[in-house]
Amino acid sequence: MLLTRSFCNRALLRSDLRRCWPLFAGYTFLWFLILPLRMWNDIPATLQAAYPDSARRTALEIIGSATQAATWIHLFFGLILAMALFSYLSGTRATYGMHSFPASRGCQFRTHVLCGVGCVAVSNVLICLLSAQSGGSHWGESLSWLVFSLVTFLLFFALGILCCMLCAWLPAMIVAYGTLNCVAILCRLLVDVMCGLFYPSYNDNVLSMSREHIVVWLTPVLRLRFGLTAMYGEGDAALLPASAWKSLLVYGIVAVVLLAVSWLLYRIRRSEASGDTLAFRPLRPVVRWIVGVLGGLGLGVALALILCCTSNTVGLLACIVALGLVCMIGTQMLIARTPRVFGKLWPELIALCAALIALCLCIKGDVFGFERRVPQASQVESVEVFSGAMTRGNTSLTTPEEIDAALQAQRYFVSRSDQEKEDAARYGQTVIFTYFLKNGGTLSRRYSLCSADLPQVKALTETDTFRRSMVLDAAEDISADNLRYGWVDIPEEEISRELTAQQSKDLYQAVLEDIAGMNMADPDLYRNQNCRVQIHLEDAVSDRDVAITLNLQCTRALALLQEWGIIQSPEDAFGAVDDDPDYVDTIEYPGITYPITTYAR
Amino acid sequence: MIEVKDLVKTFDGFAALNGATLTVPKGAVYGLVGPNGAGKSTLLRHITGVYRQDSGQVLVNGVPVYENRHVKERVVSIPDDWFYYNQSTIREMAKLYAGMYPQFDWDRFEKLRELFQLPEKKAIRRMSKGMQRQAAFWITMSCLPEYLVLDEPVDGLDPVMRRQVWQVLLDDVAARGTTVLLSSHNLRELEDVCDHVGIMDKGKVLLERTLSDLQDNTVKLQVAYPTAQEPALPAELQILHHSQVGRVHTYIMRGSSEEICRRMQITNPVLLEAIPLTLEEIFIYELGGADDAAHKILL
Repeated sequence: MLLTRSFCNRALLRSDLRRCWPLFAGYTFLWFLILPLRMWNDIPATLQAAYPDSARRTALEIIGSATQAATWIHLFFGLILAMALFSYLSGTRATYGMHSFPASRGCQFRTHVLCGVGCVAVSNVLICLLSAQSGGSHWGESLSWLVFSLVTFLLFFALGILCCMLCAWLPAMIVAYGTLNCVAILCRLLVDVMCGLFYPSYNDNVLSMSREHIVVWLTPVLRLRFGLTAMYGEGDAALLPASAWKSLLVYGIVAVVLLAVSWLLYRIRRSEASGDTLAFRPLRPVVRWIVGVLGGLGLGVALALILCCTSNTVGLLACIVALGLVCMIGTQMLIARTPRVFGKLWPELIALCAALIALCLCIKGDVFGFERRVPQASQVESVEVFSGAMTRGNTSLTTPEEIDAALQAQRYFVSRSDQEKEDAARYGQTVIFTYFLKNGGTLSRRYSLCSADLPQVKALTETDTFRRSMVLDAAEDISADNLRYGWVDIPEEEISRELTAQQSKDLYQAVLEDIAGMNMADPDLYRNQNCRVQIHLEDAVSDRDVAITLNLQCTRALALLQEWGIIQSPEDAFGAVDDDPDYVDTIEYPGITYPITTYAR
Repeated sequence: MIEVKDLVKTFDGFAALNGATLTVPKGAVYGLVGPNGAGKSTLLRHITGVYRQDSGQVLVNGVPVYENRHVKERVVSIPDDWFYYNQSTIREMAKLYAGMYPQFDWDRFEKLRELFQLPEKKAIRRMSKGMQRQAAFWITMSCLPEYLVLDEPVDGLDPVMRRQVWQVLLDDVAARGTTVLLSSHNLRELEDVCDHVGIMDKGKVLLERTLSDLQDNTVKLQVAYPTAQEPALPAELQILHHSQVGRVHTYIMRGSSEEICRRMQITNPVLLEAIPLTLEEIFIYELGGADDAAHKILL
């Protein structure tokens, strides 16, 4: 069989150019305004001659802001251009016409892509040449912008083309584009909300995502934005930071892969699928179920939050199931492009209801063991324990004994009855365990701790590290001999006193003795004692600052401060606290009791 | 030659083509008829390489059409909804076709300008349906196709333009041996231009013959007898249809005209006359009462 091997079709290329030249012209004009014109305007020849450094800084600022704008501009143009070049796939007449021409589908695909990428590349090179010579010579920065611009365009253009291949209906392309780009962040948000609802010990949220998080990588606009934030932090250099280059490399590869996938899809895509919402039939149930399940869970939880029935399992399930059904029916209506979808869909609707209820009950019943999970001691590298009221920050436990103590404490928290958990959640302090596992993973759980729990977690609170963390913010042992100086502040009274090296050593020694003698079973120790005295000691060897927060059991340290005349009495170091409720009452509602707490002011 | 063998194509479980087999000899003008939904357009789209068949073969000059640029360069089609870019003019579409089809002839394009007399610089979408049809013919005929596939080709054209278009098309067939495959519901029009005819229904080609075969094998006789009583006819005559008005009987019989007239002489008719059959009548009576499809198309 004779098969075409030509890379592109010149007639089709000319036709594409004839159709899309206004887009390319608009794109070039926009960049002309953003880069060369602005440079000519902001950096006149007189400025260059008189203040070359200032002119260069201005030029770099302009290039930097243009690089930041490139992500958003290409998000828009990539989508629009992909839709313009492949829009014929949304109509049967155009699709049949194009596919009857003597050019293979692969050749047609390559021609359209070449047209889009080629024109944008020519436009970008032109802008780069003009920019590099405007307001002084800055080829490196201009080339950085060129690379960034080309890769971001290629990424969003490829993503747009993939949507055109999957959806043969223009409105569906826009939905698919947004969904593909942001589905990860939406899923992550949903997981956070669901876990927060069903798992009391869940300790994470979407805002805590690191810049290297997979969800951020799957949302290129976010990742590229993060990658560029360091741009102005490196002197006056507008060259891309390393994180941006890394992102560009990854997204460049992704763009090529997306184009290859789109090319394969175009070859197997049937002409008769034009005008369908989804061009590939096997995708239809997949999309229906994904939207049904995710939409049901997400929108169902949102509805339950609005109706304030998240704590009522039946109400929550009703919201989830109702919205799941709405989402699946709506999706099928969109796919079939008719409101009459019930006839064939009802078995799937029943299955969806069952699946959503089963999933929610499984999560609620902790079938997956999320709540009960306590890692093995052999798996744990270190543990960070955090509680704002108890410790001065994250307490990192690394020795086997300390890790065992933390595991033992967590096992206790897991084993508490629901009533105990509820009481602790109402009146207790938050304590967070974060395990750093030997396999590189982390495991984080959050619990509420009240005074009744203290005897049960004694092994943890009695560890040296935990003791130190009650007063010192530095976990590592610092030698008193190395202390160079220090200072004591009482901001409320505008008192500030510098300490000599000897005073610093004496004070630090007294604090260590206080720590060793602290009664860790005393519930008052874990209350917020509102210490007004801020103490900082400087370690001359490691050049570190040790912050000290005293409590009422630090008698030796308080005595020294009193001796030095910084405070009048030990009680003088502490302000009034308002965390003791003066009066607790309850209001009874049918089926639920709300505690009402009042504080003396 | 175009060959279609056991072609099957299903859409969402519905078999639009269900084992269609068809042969269009080189240089023939082949008319494809059938009721709505018979699968004519689907079949033509396979021949122009738009659809990929589920099974079966579509061959042009013995080579599969689908994704074959070299074959598709020889096949030019005018579908029932001809494609043009929304903002394009006739000239721009002609340039596209000229780039796509190597044998596109600009001299022919200039010559045909006199026939069609269309505004070249006007956007095609702003033209009437008939003018768009003419534009399609103008550009397509300028491609000098070896195979021309037409779906309802003269739909929307006025009678004068129809005649002119058919004339250009038949001149091409005579001058260059162009093979034409066209689908239509209008049997009377096909009769004037086609030399081969195929009839389709329910995704199958029920019958395909040359027009002369059909005309030579079926005879319409008008016979008048002295009385209203019909005499006994020779048993060997195959009567497809018989009707009577007074003493005049009309017979449609299968066989050659001379042979049937000779045999009918023994019944001593007052008048015996063989009348030419139209294509429409041939199909009706050839397929007989048993074949619903023919009746649906022709009646």
